[in-house]
Amino acid sequence: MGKNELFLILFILPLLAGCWDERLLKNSRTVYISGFDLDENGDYQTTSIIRDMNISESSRGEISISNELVTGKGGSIKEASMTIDQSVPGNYDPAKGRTLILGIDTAKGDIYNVLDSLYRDPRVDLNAKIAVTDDSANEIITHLSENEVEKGEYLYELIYSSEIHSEIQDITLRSIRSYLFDEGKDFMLPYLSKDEEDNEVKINGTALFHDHSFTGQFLSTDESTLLLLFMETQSKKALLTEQLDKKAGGSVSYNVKSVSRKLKLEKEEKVHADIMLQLDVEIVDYPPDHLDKQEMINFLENRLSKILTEKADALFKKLAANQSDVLGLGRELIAFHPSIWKEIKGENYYEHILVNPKVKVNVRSSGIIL
Amino acid sequence: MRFKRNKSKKSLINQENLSIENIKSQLNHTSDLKDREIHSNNQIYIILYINSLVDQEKLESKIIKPLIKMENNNILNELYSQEISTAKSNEIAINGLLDGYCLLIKKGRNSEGFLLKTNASTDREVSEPIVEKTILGAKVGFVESLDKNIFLLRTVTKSPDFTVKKYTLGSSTTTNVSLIYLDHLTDPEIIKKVEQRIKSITLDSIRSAGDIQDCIEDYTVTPFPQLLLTERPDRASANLKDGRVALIIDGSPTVIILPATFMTFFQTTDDYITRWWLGSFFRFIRLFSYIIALILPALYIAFVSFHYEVIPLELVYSLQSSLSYVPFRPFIELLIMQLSLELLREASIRLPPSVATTFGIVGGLVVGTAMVEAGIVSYGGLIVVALTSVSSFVQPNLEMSSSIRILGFPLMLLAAIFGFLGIVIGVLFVLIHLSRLTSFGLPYFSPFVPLNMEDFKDTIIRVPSWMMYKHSKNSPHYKQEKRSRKWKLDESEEPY
Repeated sequence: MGKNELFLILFILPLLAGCWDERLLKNSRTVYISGFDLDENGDYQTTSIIRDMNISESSRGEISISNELVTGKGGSIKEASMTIDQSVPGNYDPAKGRTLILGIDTAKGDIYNVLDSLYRDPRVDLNAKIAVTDDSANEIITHLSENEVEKGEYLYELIYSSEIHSEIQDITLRSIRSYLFDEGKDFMLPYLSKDEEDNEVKINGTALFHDHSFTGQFLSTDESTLLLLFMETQSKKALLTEQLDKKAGGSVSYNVKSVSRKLKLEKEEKVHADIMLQLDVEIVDYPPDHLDKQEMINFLENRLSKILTEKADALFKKLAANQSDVLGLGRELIAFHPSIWKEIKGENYYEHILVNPKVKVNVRSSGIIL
Repeated sequence: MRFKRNKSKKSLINQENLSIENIKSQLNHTSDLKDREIHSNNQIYIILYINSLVDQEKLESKIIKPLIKMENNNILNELYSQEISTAKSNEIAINGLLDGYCLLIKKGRNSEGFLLKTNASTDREVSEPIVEKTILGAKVGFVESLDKNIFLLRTVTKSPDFTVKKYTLGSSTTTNVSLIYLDHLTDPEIIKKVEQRIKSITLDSIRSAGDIQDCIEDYTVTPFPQLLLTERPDRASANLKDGRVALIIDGSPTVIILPATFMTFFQTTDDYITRWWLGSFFRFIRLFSYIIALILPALYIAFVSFHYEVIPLELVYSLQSSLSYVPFRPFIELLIMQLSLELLREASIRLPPSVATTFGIVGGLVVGTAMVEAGIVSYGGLIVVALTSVSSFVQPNLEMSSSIRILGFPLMLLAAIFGFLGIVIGVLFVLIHLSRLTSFGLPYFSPFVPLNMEDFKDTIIRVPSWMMYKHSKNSPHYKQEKRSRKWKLDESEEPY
């Protein structure tokens, strides 16, 4: 090959990469939050907040932030965003949206219909958080746009801090896809609701999903923390509070330091899943003190183990009622007991599984005082 | 052959006999060529000299006076000149005259003359270097005189192996050049190469160190300098001790050090004076700033015109807010800013220092902010350009910092066309180019390419002096020196 030909190839190669599609930042209208609703006709409605920041010319450095609320309707998510694009100056760009809100109607349908267009766009932030609301997404976003203008990434931080405290499962746009297409595993998403009294958006717990859609049932934050402990996916902080009787001092708060789970799956009439959960906890709030005495610790350990086992029973009954296999027992069967899985596999395999949870609490630490 | 004259004159030069008339016509009867006849001891002596090159005082007291008072005919014993040589041909005589010697001829025996050293010197006092400033280094810089520069170098490099070789370059006007090296440390291969290349210079005249650099460097089509120009004797001396070669050009206060590798340009005298932690830190800062200066403008362009999803959300909004008033594309925006900065930089070099301060304020601050307020550039662009130029000023070597400025523009263009891909292509191209470069046959990008872990001791970090106990493998006396911190072992063995 001649030198000239080589040069030509070297020159053409970068052009082939197709990286020339310039997207100027100054022309883009960057979305900061998006929500998706489904109306009665089966049309999707996308609601987005486009944020503008103005550094005023007269008084230097003074920054004013304004939110622009845009909505668009269409037969698909893409069509809806095209409708928005027609109504905003510049290019409507959802790439920087770090929070996606699914309205309750959308969530109850197949949520993959919404997510599909997002996965096809290479620029979408795959670390975006997804949440479900108890109302329409439009409602929540309108509220945020009016009330949380100055608060930066209010919703993202709200969800993030809940994850840090092991209140909700850590799910992003990227990780949710593997749950969606895993036949032996389900997931839960943060469940948002608007608190009318405080005029605030709050996380009320987690929405249980089965397959691709919301079951309608949600867990409280305490329940989902316990479930996360059973899944061994809690964060560094997992704070729980239990009510004891008056005699024993009211209530005790503790932080779970480490978890060890033993899972035994056996096929009898139904598939029995015996889960033994060992929690190493640190007492963080217990006014009666005297944790230096062994009998005191034994007492707390016994009480907490009993309470948690009861709670876990209720929790797994709830999961069974909604067929939501957040724990991933189906995946466990696929991996270690394929013969059992072959017998029960199908849409509603969770009906055949009976969970028998047991919790053992070990008090390992009492903070810096006894 | 030093003189290229027309043939008729050339034939005169070659005449064996020394002839005053011939010399005079060779020098075109220039009016500052003086001669004087002296009658002494029944002999007639003629002294020929170029008035403007000769120290009058020296000539009178050391040559003419003893000559008149001379009692016997033994000239060599009577004259006080420190350097006397015989001139047997017109050519030698003329070259001597041009170097400031005076020619003494005994009348009657025209075939023999003596060249006596009487040259005047206009050396300025040794002063602190202006460009290569240091904090703790010596406050001595090279001057314009060749002999004085060798003196300065010798005083900081006392060694019997200190070798000086003189060359005279230029075919119509001549310039003296000295090649200096430490014989026991320098690779003979390199000395041979340098000599060969210097001898092949056939320029009409040598104007400055740049002329020689152009003629002897391996590659001219590259933004990277392969020879180190310095005005510091301590730096030159340190490089000699590293086995490099110095070239001093008469009349030029800059000394050429060769061969230079990429990392040579990041070393300063202060690195070795301060403790090694500090030296290493500054070394690291310099490398880091080099990379910043090279790719920051390109990165900015790629960010705001292709990949703004990688910028944190809060930054996106604030960048966008000032960008939205700018009518140009990011590439044009930065180009305007960079070019106006280059203007400021170029203008400030020629200004007297008192005006330069005012100029800096007006040029930098006022124009900068006004440009942003007028919407010609954005705040982001201004920050990027300012950071880039500050980073390029960090480079201790002027030529190296210019190389980044030149390389920055094509990288910006690539980023404007291809985004990150363009930057990757550009940087790869630069790296490949660097790896291919050689300086006097030695790999320029060493010790990175080819990788040599041993040589990393004095590149990104500077290890303490006692750890650098090996000489270069190419030096004739490659050996391991004794450990300098042996005292620590001795002390710990001492009984209490």
